[in-house]
Amino acid sequence: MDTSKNNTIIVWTILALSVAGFTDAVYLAMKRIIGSPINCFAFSGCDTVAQSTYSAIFGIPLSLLGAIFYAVTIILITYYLQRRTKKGLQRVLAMAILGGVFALYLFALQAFVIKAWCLYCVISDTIGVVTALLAIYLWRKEK
Amino acid sequence: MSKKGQEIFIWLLIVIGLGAIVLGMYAAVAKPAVVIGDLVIPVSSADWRKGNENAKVTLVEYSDFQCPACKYYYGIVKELEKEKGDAVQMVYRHFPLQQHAFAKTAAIATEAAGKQGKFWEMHDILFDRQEEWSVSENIQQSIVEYATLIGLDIPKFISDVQSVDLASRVERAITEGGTQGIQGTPTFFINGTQVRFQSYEELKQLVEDELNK
Repeated sequence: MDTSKNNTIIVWTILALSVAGFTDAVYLAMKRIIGSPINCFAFSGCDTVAQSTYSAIFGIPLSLLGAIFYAVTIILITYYLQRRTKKGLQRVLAMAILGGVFALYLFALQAFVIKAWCLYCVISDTIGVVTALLAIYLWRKEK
Repeated sequence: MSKKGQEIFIWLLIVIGLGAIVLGMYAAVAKPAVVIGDLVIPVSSADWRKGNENAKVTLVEYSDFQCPACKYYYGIVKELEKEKGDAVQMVYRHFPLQQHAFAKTAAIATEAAGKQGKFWEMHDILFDRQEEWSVSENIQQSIVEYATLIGLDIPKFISDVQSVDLASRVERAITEGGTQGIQGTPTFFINGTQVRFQSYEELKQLVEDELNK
């Protein structure tokens, strides 16, 4: 398979992952904003994580920021797929690295500070890290 | 279709797609929670009860000491206790959830305190200090500290906490909660009927409706 075709597959993978990440983050944000009544459900650490003091920055739920992050990533990738400019790829890369680093921070928070895991948060964080790695790989190949 | 037209079409698709995801998730979250029906296991002397046994209103709570939502509701129930006093009987039933590492230990600690007549004192201090012991490096030490604070006989408390009896009592409570169909905590019943409320005002209204029956 030639390189450019390979790269296209990676871009589409990032897009697909971002759509999955967006869906997941929107679910968490909705749960946080309209979910009622608050409850702890069996087989999920989400109550502990999603209601912890770390689940919001300046009163804005992290899940909402996550949804915005993935939506912006989707827009940037679509733009890149249409134009294929170096600048476009740069923007995707910058966004993906920002997301990846933040996802690592959230992993650390769950592991060491809150000491509880929320499946939906873990999915979102994993997508964030994988997206960042794919974007870096793509950048190095296209450079 | 021109290239420009194609691009506009794709952007339109993205807006519609993301919008559909948002609406879909809204629908998934907004659907009402499962109704689990009336109380199956009647209140008896085997329960942890507080208040007047002949009260017109009995509030049964299935709860988990490590659950943040239960702590929130603990405050609401306390307020009811203060205002309604003997008009309402409170019943606490253990339902420690799997994901809360120390919830069972906490439940056993209240049982051990109960052996010295201080179940509710331990219940209160565990909720009051939930943030502290939930992330404790040494849960046994935290619990013994609380036992000291509420004035328990410590050697007896320690031996009770380790007894198989109390652990199996908590296990039995979990099984019974399962029989009841409890899926999350807290779950409340007023006079045997499942109720939902989110604020003190709502709970008070439910209790008053029952008192006026």
